Amino acid sequence: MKAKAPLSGVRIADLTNVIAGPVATRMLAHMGAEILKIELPWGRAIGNIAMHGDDEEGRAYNKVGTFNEVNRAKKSMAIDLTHESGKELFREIVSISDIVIQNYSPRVMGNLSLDYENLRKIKPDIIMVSMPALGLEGPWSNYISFGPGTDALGGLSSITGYKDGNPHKPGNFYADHNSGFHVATGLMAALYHKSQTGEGQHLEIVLREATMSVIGEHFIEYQLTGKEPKRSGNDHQTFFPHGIFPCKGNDSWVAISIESEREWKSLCDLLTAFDLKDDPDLSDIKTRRLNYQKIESKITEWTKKRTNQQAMNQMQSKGIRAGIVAKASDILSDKHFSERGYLDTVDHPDAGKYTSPGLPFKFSKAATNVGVRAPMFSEHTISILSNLLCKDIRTIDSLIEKGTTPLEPIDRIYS
Amino acid sequence: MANHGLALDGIKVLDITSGFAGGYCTKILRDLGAEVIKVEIPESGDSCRSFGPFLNDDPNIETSAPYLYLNAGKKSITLDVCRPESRDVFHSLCLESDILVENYKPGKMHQIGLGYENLSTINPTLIMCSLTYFGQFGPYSQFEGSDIVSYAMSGYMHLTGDEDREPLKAGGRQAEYQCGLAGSMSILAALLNRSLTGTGDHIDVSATEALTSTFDGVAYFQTYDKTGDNPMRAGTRLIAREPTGAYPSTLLPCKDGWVHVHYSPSNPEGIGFLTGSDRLASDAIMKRMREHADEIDELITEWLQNHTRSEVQTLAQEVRVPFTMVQSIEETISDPQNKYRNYFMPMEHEIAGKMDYPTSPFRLKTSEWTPLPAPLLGQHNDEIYVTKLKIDTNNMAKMKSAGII
Repeated sequence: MKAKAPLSGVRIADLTNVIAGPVATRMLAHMGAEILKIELPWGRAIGNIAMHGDDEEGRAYNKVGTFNEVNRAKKSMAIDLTHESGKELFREIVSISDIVIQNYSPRVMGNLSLDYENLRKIKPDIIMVSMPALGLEGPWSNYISFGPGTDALGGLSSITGYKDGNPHKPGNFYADHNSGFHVATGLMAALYHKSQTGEGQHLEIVLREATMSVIGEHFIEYQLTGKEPKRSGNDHQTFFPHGIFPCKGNDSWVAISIESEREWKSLCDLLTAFDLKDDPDLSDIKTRRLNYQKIESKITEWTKKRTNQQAMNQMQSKGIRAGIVAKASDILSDKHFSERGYLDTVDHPDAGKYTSPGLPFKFSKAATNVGVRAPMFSEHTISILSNLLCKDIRTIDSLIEKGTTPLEPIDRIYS
Repeated sequence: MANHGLALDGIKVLDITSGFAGGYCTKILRDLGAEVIKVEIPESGDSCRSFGPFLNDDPNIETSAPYLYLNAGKKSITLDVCRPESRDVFHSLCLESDILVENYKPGKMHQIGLGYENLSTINPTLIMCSLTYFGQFGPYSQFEGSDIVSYAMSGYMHLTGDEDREPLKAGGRQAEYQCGLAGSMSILAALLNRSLTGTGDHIDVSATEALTSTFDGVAYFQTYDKTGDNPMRAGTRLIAREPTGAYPSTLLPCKDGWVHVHYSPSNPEGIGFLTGSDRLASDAIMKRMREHADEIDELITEWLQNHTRSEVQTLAQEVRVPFTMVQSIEETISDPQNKYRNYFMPMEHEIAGKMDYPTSPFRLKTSEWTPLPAPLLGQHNDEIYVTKLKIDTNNMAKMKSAGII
């Protein structure tokens, strides 16, 4: 018998949009939960980030790359929640769900009469997740911010950047993915609590607080030393040498971190830099930092003669911590990722074949639900209405006709 | 607020890791209510104890910033798990635990007789989670790793930094934190699975894969597939470069520092209204925003120059424009929102003194997070070894003099 995934039998009503919320429910979908993604009737709020295909002809809304990445293995149903018939339908979905998750700004659920107190009246043991940018309460609770804005407000931008340079940010949407992973984790804890006690609850995970949580030691550092942590580029406060070095080819780099005397000696041996190894000016980390130019030029002279793959392999064979600064093409062709079956390639009727990052962990026993594409817009509306909500054909037709559950995006009317 | 007990009440975690990844993994489990026993090497303890920065810059294993942060509320016992003489004690600890978290190099646990195949015969319901830089198998599994190496190999580094400069690592230790976070996520899934099947599991977490999983990979992979070119880092702007793409999303300077400026799809004319710039609200710009990125930056910066960060944020948010301040670490600790939410709470540590600690990123509305400082090295030896495992004092003394505890 095929093993069941850990969350099989768990149903989630998912009102989230854009990235952070969908990332959370993507992880839960991979763990076997049934995700009913309730889409906005006017299509996908994520904009035209990374379209599949060269043009936007023909059902472009199904070709939004980022949407298709973060919504794998979910079911899609479009509901117009601004209409009473849509709210009623959503309440019916709540009554057959274990979890309601949303990432609207704090006022919205209250305005829709879909706040926790109301949801609890429909399903007393419901678990509700709110993931506001800055908090459900407090002087800034109604402020709007996307992930990168919380990098700024949470201190991550201030500690990211080139040495003596301006504040910076990691990648594109780090804060969103980070908070999504925290939400998936918190939700499974709430599910565990429910399995032990029968109790549901309202769980709040704040985008900015998840960011502050992954740089927590800096808040302690400031208080211990009285000094504001500095932007330090690729340097490390303890280890040296530590950073990246240019290799053969365009924008090609290898990252190195020397963390012990043994590793320092191995590096000198590898570079055949005996003058460095025996140099009295370079006897410890302090003196090496002072004379960094001497060391950097030796390493660079060596790395520039090699591709970053060669540099990494040769260094690793001597027990030196080294890795290439990987580009998209490196990851796609990486033998390690492929042997581990890490990447997740799926086929989509409108978008074609696409590859995304897979699961960051592997179980030896529990089953997972990967290799499943994202749904097309409103793809499961009819089956959810008929199989889960037991509606007859006439009712379904009328809901579609009224625009309560559109099968294709309708034009958005801004009021 | 009524305390109904935290979500993971009664769950016992044995943490034999050293460093940031394991520390964050079990910090999360502790934040959610589990009891975490940290098993540390006698004398020196967890490597986070020696990283610093330290109180008054004076090295002391009890006052290292990362240790104090990551281990608040955990219990500390000392045990050298690599020594065969510690085997019986370690087995007893495993028997008492629901979860074991380790971060030895792949193969090491097996080599010292503590592989999952051994431990699961002692405790079949044990969930063992292995945190490494590259995973338990695969061509790189025996590679030596570190935070910057995983950051580089994950694909993130190539995409962080300025286009005309070298790639940049994010502040802090994001590869190691993501490894810990992926660890806690997978442990909770295994715990739910155990409720269904009655058996434990062994989980393989790779820091590199954990970080790759937090980037919008499909956008990058697709760009490469479509154009044959690798997407390039774009400073503080978003990397997507379609001329019609939404903009701004970047950091810009104002009167007294930097702010993050961002376009809002639900308020497309907001920035033009805020800054009083007709040009910013014009069709020419709105229809091809990304193409006009430099001009948009210039026009917004003109307005920003007359305002402080705090004014920018207040004025923008009043008209539903998502601009936010770049705050320093010091400012973040005491900003009005964090104060109101008590995100930082004071805790008194015997040696490090009183400080405000970041609390928990999880607000479970039925229960409260308990502020408890990080343990001293071996602080709970008596509680765990003598009271719980009933090891007599003679044996304790022997193990201590042999350097096992």
